[in-house]
Amino acid sequence: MSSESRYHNNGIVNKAGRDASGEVSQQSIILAALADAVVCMDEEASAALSRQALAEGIPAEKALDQGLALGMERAGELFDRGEYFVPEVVVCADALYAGLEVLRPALLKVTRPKGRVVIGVVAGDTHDIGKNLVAMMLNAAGFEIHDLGRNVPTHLFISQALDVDADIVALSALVTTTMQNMPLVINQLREASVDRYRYVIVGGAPVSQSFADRIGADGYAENAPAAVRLARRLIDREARP
Amino acid sequence: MRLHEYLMGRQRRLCFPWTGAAGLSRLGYTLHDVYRDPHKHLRLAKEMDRLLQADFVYPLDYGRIYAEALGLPMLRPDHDFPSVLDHPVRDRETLAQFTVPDPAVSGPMPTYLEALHLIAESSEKPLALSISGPFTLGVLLVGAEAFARAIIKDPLFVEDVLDFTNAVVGRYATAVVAAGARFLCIGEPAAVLLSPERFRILVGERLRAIYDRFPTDVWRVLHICGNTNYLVQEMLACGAEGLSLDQVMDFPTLAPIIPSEVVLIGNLDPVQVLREFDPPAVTEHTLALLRAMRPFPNYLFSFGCDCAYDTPMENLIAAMEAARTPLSDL
Repeated sequence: MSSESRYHNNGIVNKAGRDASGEVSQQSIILAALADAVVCMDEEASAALSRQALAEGIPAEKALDQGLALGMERAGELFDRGEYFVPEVVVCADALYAGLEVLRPALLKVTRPKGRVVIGVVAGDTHDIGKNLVAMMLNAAGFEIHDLGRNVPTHLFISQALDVDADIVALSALVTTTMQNMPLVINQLREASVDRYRYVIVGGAPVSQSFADRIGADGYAENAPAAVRLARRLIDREARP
Repeated sequence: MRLHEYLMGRQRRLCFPWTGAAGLSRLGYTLHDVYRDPHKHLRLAKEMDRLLQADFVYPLDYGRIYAEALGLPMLRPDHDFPSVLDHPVRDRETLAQFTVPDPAVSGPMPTYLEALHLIAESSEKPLALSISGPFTLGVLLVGAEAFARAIIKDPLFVEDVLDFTNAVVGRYATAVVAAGARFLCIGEPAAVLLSPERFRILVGERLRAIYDRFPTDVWRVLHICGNTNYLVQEMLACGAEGLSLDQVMDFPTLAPIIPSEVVLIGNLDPVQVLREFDPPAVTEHTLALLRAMRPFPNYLFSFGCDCAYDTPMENLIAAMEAARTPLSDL
């Protein structure tokens, strides 16, 4: 399998799985190579392996979950460990999307998202790199993303959260002067969302856990991989009364 | 005299506050009133000096002045700093449409420089100001995500962008020094996108080239927001004689690794402490920071980043009064 050897040559440990008999199956080799293609930021290999996965009869959902998305998760782990930085994560996401474009027509049924997230940068703030990374990684992790962009008026977060029945509203701010708009969103969302509880998570350079606690957010994430873990924890948590 | 020498032999800490737009409401000005009128700018600087009695005089920050001079589309709130709405540089062709602004004539630069000159002339205190660095300007021109992508996929384009932004910043830095700036802080907040290796190549070496152009009596300071623990060694290597760091940084832990000839500047929390607390609590936090930094002579009291425009003035006054406590009383 050329892709596997290719990534071994690049020094990446291939996590190829084994089937019940202990043999490395062709499917698991392809899935592992898909993940490696994302980690290695190789868009071409990601697209080619996605085509190969479909040709080998691997369900598109499986190729996504156990290949591309797993690779993005590993990229997030490398980011957490300080081995990857923002440029690497952005290009890993490009590789993921290159494969996803191939798989998309074959995603016969709409996979149920892990959760619906409305995300944006709060009013007055035009810095969106952190928000974009979180959106990319949440999307890769199976969340349905409704990205409102940057400098988002408070009311838009609320109306969109209600319109799409969001499970989570994710707020980003990069400067000290705009993070003050986060509690406005939280307060208005709590007032407007009478039918169910919607989680609010916050992040951005000047934001901290203590700030998140103070403004009544349900969680704070220091970076994009942490945001994915936080979103998973919240969704897994039993719905609040 | 280098910055660390300027701090030596004092009976108390020197203080420099990043007050942001917090003083505007005192005078009933909008941000743009001040940007457009050097005399209003001078009045604001004098009022802040009267109220806070810092050891430096300073203008209202104008971190996006290059973006204004280059004609980028901007968001301009009345009481908060402008920011860039679109990033027009997509490739070499769009980059080639821009020319390095001439500070004497381009956009708001001459008016701001006139204000700097007035403020510098009005006081015996050193004029301090912050300008954005070349990497951060590159991110503004190209967009953070696109620039991050190009760092890996098209490094030669990134080099071209940074050659241009270095020319912009270098030319403007020379002009603000000529206008009287003595303490010149280059802010590179976007540099937190980078690994230490890339920081050295894309930020550090270019900053050093700009710093090296300053006259020796201009103090070279570097500010990067957020958690920069992993970048500190690279920041030290770029020739800055002062590091201004964010409130998330643990100064007493960091200070022992900072060379004695480099000044550590910060880092009272502008949000949780200065905006949210009352004056007694601000005093308490300020004194706690000063006590923790008591063993380190190369320390300059400041805030971790700019204050929000609605930071209570009484809190700023409380912080600065506490910061003037004699070292012997700490």
